[in-house]
Amino acid sequence: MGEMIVIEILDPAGRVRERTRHERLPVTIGRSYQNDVILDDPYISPQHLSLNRDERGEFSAVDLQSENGVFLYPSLKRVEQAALGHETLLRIGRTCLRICTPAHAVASTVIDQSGPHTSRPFLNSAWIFAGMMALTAVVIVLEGYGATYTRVRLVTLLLPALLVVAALSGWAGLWALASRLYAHHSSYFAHGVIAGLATTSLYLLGTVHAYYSFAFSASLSGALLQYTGVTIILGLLLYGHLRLCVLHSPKSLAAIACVVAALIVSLSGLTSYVYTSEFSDDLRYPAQLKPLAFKMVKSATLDDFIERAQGLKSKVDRQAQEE
Amino acid sequence: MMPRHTPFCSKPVLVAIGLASLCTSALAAGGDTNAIFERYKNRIVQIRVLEASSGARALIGSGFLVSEAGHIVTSYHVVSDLVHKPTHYRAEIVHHDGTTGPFTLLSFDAVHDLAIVQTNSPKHPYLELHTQPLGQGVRVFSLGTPLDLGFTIVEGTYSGLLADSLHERIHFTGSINAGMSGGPALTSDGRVVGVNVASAGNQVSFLVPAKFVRQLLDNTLLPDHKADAPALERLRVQLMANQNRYMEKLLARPLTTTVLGRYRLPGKIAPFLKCWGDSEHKKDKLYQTTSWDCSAQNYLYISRSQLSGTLNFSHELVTSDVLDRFRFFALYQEFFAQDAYAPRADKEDVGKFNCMTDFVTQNDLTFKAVLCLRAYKKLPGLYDAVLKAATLNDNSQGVLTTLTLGGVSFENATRFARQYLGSIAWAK
Repeated sequence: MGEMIVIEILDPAGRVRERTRHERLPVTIGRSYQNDVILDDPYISPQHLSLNRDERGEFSAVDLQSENGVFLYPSLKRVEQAALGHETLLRIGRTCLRICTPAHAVASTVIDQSGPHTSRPFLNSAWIFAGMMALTAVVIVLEGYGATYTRVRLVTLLLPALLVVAALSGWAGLWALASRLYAHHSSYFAHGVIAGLATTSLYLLGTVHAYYSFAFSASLSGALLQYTGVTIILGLLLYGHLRLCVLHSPKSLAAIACVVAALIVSLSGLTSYVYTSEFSDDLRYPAQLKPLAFKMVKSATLDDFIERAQGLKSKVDRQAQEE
Repeated sequence: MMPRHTPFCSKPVLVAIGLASLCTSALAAGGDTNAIFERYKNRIVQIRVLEASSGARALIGSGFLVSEAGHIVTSYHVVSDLVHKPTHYRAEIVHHDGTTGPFTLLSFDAVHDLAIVQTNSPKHPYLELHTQPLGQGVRVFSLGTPLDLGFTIVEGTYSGLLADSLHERIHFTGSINAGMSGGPALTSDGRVVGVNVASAGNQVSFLVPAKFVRQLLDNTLLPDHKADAPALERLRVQLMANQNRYMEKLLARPLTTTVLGRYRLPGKIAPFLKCWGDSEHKKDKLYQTTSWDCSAQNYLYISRSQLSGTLNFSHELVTSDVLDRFRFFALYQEFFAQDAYAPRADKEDVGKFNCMTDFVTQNDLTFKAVLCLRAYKKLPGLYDAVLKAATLNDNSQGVLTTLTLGGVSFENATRFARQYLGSIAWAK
C-alpha cells in the first residue's frame, strides 16, 4: 500500500477526466503503447515521463528526455526531475496531470442543506399530472364557455383545451430532457404539473384582472396587477423547472428565475408601451362589463363625473403641449 | 353590429380633392349655356396650390372675380394649405386666357367654406352677387375647372336650400366635380347665387349661398379689417364661435328622446341630424340588438388632414332571454369595447385620446361611463370628445350609447355630455 500512487488527468477547467491508481512503481507515461498510462496528446513524446520512488521512499517525476519537456505547476518551470508531494500538478504536452500520494488529504464533506431534491415522489406522480391536466382543461373550457354568446359547440370548447394540454405535455418533455441531461432523472410528471399550475394560474389571473378592472373602474392598477401577477407566475414556473434540472442552490435558482421572469414581462410591457405611444384614434379605457353585483365602489353622481373631467382636460392639454 | 346605413356614406364629399369619378357632365346643348360661358368665362379663374420647393401642383380649384379691385372668391378648402402651412405651399391664379399671376389670401370663412383672395392686376370684369333665394327649379349654371380639364360650364337647377342642415347650403342638381370648388353658380343673367362646394354623387351637388359671400366680402372690405392676425388664430376664433352657436341652440332646451326597449335615450335632438334605426333578430343567435344612429350631415373642413364640427351618437339595445348573466355580460362587453368614430385628424393636429371611467348613477340607472378627450394642437381650446355609457341594471338587457363631438370647447363638451347622459332614463 505504501507504494500506491494516483494519477488524475484533468480537463482544461481543472476537473478530473480520468483517474488511475498504481500499486507498483515506476509508472511510465507517454504516447507509446508500452507505457502504463497512455495519453493521446500529440505534443507528448512516446516515452515522456516516469514516476519513481527512491530507496529513501521519496516519490519523484523524471523527464524521459521528452521533446516538449515537463512543467511544474504553478510556476510552469521546466524540470528534469521533480520531487512529488502529497499533491503535485504537472503539465506535459497540452495535458495537465495531478499526481497524488496516499497522504493526500481530501477536503472536508460539504453539508447538504438543500434537502434531497433529486427525487420528488410527491409531485412526480402520473396521477397528480393527470389531475393537473384535467384541471387545466376544465378551467380553459369554463373560460371559453363564459366568453361565448353564440350557440355552444362542444368541439370548439374542447379543442383549445386539448391543444393547451398537448402543448403542456410537450413543454414538460423538453424540461424532462434537460433534467435527464443535467440532473440524471427526468421528472417528467413533475415538470408537467408545474407547467399546468402556471397555465391555470395565468387563466385565473386573467379573470381576476377582468373583474378587478370592472369593479374598481381601474386601468392603471389593473395593469399593475396583471404585470405583477404574470411576473410571479412566470418566476415560479421557471424556478420549479430549474430546481428539477440543475443542482445549484435554491437561492441562486430563485434569483435566476426572478430575473428572467422580470425581463420577459418588462420586454412585453415595453413592447406594448411602444405600441400605445404611437398616435392613433384608439380610445383606451377598461372596457370590461360584469353584472352590477361585482361593482365594488360607490357610483358617482352625474355632476361628480362631469366635474372630474376637468382633470382629464388638464391632462390632454398638457399632452398636446408636450407632443 | 354596424348600422346598415352608415351616415358618413351619404355625407357630401368635398370636391376639391379625392373625387376620381369622371361623371358625364350635364352640359346642355342649348345656345344660352354657350352664350353664358362665352360672356362670363373671363371672370372665372383657376386656383393652383403649388408645393413651394418643387412648384408641383398640390391641389387645384376654381374662383371668380367679385370686384374691379381684383377680389376673387374661392373655397376655403381650396386654399387651406396657405393657412396651415404657408411656408410649404404657394398659390397662383390662372386666367381663362392662360395668363398666370400671384395672389394674397385676404380672409376666409371656414364655417361656410369660403375664402377671398386678391390679385394685384386690377381692372378686371367681375360678377355680381344675387343674395336672394331663387324659385325651385330655376336654371343655374355652374362654372369651374373640373379635374384640370379646362374651363367648363355645367347646367342644373336650383333645388332650394337644404332642409335640416347645420350650415345653409343650396341643393344644385348638376354635376360638380373635383376642381370646380370655389367656382360660381350663375343665374342666366350672370349673377352669382352660390359657390360650388361639394357633391354627394350624380347630380346632387351643394352650393354655399351668395349671402355668405356678401358677408365675408363686406367684412373684408371694412377699413378696420384685420388681416394681420395670424391665420390660424382667425380660424380658431371662427370655429369657436361656430360651435358655440350650434351648441347653444342644442342646449337651450331638454334633449328630445326616443324609446329603445325599456330605456329612454336622446333621439333626433335637432333638425339637422339624420337618424337611422335597425334591428337584428337571427334565429341562430342567442340575442337581439336594436340600434339607433344619429349624425349631423355637415362637417367642417379644417385642413387636408383634419375634419371638425361633427356630431353623432348611436345607441345599441342588447337583449337576451337565453344567456346566463355571465355570458350576457361577455356579449355586452364586446359591444362596449367597440371602437367609436373619431373625426379625421393626424398627430400634427391633435393629441392622443385620454379617457376616464366610472360608475355613474342617475335616474335610477347605473352606468359604466367613459369620457375621452383629445385636444387640438394648433387650435387651442377645441377638443374632440367621445362619451360612452352602458347600463348595468339588468342581467339580460342593456343599452349602450356612444356620443362623438368633433371640435367643441371643453365647456360645451361637458355641458352636452351632462345633458346627454342626464336625459337617459327608464321608459315609463
